[in-house]
Amino acid sequence: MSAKKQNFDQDDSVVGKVFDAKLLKRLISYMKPVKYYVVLAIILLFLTTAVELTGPLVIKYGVDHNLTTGKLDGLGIVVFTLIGVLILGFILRYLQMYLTQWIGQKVILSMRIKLFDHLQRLDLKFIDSRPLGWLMTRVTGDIGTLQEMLSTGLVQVFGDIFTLVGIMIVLLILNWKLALVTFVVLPLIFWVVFAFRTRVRITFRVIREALAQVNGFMQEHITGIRTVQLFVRESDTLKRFHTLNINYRDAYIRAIRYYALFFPAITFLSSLAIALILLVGGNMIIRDVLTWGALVAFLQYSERFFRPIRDLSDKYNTMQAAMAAAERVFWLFDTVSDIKEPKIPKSLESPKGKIEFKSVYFEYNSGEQVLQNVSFSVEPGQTVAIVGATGAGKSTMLNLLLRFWDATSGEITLDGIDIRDISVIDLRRQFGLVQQDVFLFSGTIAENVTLGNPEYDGKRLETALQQANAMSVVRSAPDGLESTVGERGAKLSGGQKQLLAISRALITDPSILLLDEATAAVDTETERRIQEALERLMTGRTTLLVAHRLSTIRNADKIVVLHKGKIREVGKHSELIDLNGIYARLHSLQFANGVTA
Amino acid sequence: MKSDYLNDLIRIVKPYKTSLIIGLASTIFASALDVASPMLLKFGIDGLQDHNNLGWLMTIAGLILLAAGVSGIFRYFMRMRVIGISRSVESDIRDGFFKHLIGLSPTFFDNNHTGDLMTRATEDVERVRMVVGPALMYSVSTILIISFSGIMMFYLDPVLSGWVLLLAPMIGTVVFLIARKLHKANLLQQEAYSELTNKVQENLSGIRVIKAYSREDYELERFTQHCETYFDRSLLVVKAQAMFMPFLGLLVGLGIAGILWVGGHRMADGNLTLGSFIAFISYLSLMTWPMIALGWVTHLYQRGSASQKRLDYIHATEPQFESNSSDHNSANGTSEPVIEHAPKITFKNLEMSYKNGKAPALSGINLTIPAGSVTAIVGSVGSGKSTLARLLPRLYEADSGEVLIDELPLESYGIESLRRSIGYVDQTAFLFSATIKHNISIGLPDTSQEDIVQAVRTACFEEEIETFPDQYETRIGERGVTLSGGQRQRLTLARALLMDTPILVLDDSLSAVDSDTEAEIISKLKTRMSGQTVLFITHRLAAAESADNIIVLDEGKLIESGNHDSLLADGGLYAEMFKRQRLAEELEVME
Repeated sequence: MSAKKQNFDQDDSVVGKVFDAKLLKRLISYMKPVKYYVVLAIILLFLTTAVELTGPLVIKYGVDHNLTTGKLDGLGIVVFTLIGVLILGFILRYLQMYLTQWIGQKVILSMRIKLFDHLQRLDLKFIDSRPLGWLMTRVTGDIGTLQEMLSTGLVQVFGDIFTLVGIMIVLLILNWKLALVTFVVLPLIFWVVFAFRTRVRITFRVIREALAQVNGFMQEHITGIRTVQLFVRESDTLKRFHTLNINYRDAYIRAIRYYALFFPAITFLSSLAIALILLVGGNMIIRDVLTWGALVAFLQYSERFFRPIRDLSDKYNTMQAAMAAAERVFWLFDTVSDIKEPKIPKSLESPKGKIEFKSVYFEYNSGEQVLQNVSFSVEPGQTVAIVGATGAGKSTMLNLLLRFWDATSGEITLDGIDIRDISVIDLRRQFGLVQQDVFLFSGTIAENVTLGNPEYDGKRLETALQQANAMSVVRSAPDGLESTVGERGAKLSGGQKQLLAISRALITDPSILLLDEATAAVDTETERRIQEALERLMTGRTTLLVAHRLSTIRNADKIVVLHKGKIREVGKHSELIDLNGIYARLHSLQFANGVTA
Repeated sequence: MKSDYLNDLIRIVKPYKTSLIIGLASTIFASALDVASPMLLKFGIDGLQDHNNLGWLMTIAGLILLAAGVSGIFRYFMRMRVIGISRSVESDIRDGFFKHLIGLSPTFFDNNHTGDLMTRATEDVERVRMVVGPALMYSVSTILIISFSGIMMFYLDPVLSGWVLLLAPMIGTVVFLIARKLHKANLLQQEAYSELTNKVQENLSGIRVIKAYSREDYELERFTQHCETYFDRSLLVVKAQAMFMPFLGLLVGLGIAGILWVGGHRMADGNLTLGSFIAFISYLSLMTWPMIALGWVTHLYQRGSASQKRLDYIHATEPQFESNSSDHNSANGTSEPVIEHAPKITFKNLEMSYKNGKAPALSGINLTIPAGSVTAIVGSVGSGKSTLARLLPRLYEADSGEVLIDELPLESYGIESLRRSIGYVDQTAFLFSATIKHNISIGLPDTSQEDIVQAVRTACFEEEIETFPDQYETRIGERGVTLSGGQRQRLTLARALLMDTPILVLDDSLSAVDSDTEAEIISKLKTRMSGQTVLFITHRLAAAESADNIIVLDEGKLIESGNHDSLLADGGLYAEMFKRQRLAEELEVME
């Protein structure tokens, strides 16, 4: 399957095939739940087309029976029939359009939700290795393109064909000779429309390219405006920008020329149809083989040739874009998470919280070694601090424990069980994570602490906030618990976010705490509050922390010193100071930092 | 306010007056010919009843084709001219917008995001273009077709025309009402869509929290709600859309039914011919699109007004310097002082604070930098180092106090000559996606290859460039090779060195270069530096060690100054910082 060679730096605007049976089949399989509606939509489409084609016939009857004879009786009935047909046509068309769009939206609704769920359950290795925008485009842009195809593309193609064939049948029945003469314009319209489409498509590719250059240049020079100004390059930059602008304009003028030729050509072709009908039809009227009404009907039908042909040519683009989007979306659906659930999960009853790393190695896909031969253990109830310079691999250890990533080799156990033998949900439930960079969702304070778990509402939420010293955050917010925190918690200060993150961990009552201490400076009062909250949180729990604060390090039962991916020193604070090695230096470095910060 | 908009539009199209007149004249001729067609059809059909001859038919059919053909030619010129002008206008507006931007102060760019400026330069410019292009063309064409058709219909049968023209305001109203509904529904839908998009973005950013707390099911539920809201809102749009064209079709159809009814009676009375009846139906279909276009054009015009305001807003910001964008020195440049040799730089009682900042960025700075000396500025993040450096090329202006170069205030030098005298190397190491050569020679485009190589050599970058696929012609950036932070910094340094300016300012511009290379660069600078006064900001004290003077800033104040040894002996902040860096270096080399 071609999806295999897909990778994330593939250009999103890449043109796909217009028709790919496999992809189409897979797409159509999503329409199964609404298949009866699809059938109904096609029936409606058929009926609508039929009714809409009846109008000119009613007028023909009126012309033949009343207008040309000068008799008025029956004209009322003809007019009312016409009005009836028009209203019926309107209602049918409305229902048909609504239903068709509804089908597309409905199918896409479930597809989007499924894709989102699939995406959020993929492993972090996959998610981290792709730009955020790329992942988002799958769930938004690509799905939108598919929706367009399902809503208007697929069904409307039938409609266009029905209309074209319908008109041809009616004309043939009315007068087959005149019909054949009229059909002369059909291939011409097809030719003009498709020739135009092809040329315009190519021109627009050039235009997009030229526009990308204009925008790219502008974006780059706004970003680098200081360089432009410092090196006094203003006039040269403007000249180059002007050239790009002119390029873009000229590319567009080519497209304008195509449009300027296309619209008159189409008008000319409809005039050609009128002239032919007048000439040949008029001649037939003289010879009494055509009625006046039929002539009027021919004139009216000939006006309706153009739209379905133009629509059909539009569908080409829609289908092409949809196929490319479908390929990317299905590729994502076919990607499976690296983090495998155990076949027979071992259960963790009454967890004690003993953690053990046994010669754990971890490297990125690139082969870069992050952790090498890391072995250590944390006894139930102990507090173990991981200390090391930036980039030493500290946070990776927390990521491995939570199975965000799996170790390249070695084993991590929880209460003696390999964490890969525990179901992921069960495993993660044991931990309370407080990250250095606190992530808040754009909901309310309450939602950010309970994360939407209804069991935590009310009393439990309040207790957690109190224990985490976070009641002050609630009190200072305009709507208390229901105050929104803004995008990524923009309305709160760093310290307040920390307190909420602590509450979030507290409320789940985890057996093990994973803390990635914040380095951001907060005022002393907030610092005291955070410290106090953390101490409460740590009481009676196994704690593994990436430590920056001297006090937490000092009180730890054990300090693990990580340096360049390896454990270099293990021991208590005083022992490690006496050792006068890496820890001693890190310590004085950080202590010095603390003074000047 | 409205007339401002109109004046703006007139000003924009003024350079294309002649072309515009040709385009609009073509529109008039084309519209007149289009309106002639149904009339010809009438004569053809009526003639058929009277004459019963083929020659008459041939003549009429020929005339119909001729009218369509000639009208087509006029339509071609109409579109080429009017829409063509709109593209030229777009290019003009964008040029002007960019020209204005390029003269604005750095503070402006600190406060206005690139994304927002880009939206103005793209979407808003396009919307104004739509007004002077399609909106103008369609409104003229529409008004002509409707009035010409009206005249013809009155000529054919005033009574029947009265009935048919009743329809025009009805269609106009319906288009307006449904379009408004559609617009509102579209806004609601877009809102729901951006919420949905934000949700995806937020969840992908916070995926660790979601996974750590196993909240996938809950998040799925919330996302589903967003999707359902979007679904409901989309159906609102669908409803309006499904109403729009079919309802118009119904109205036009009712018009035909009316023609059939009234026309039937008029024909029975002998007041109307069959040809006129057919012509009426043709006129109705000829007028349908223009009646729809009226609503659309109104929408374009209103939208363009909002966009024009957004562009005017930027244009209303005063450029930082009068002559900034002119490349030539003013004619009477003789009166302007020029910085020739390594000058003495004096900072006097400088005070400066940022608008949004609470603490002053600089306060009470008094400092003299001797001519030809090398001065290092050190201090923690936010201590005011960069702010001080940025005052020299006047990227920022101090609130009070002054900066003197060779005893003359900065303002007495022309801005261009001042900037050409300062080699300023930024900490961001901004490079353009162009060739290495282009990036180095940006300040002196016609420089010789030897000079470039010389500058690159001083920046310790020569050997690495040799390894690139096309050496100096290697493209960098988006479509070329990606440079590391250290490489970028050395390239921007070479760019400044090439200019061989009396003053060189390095604003923490070697932070990503390893310390050995930095030391090498500094020592190379010192040996070649006879004609330059150098100011360099660094956070590596080892690099500062060799400077003639070291300035220590803290919270915007000058707290220590002297050379390395004297500062160490003082045992102040510098000594403290030095001790810490020693520790960090020791750690770095430990295995």
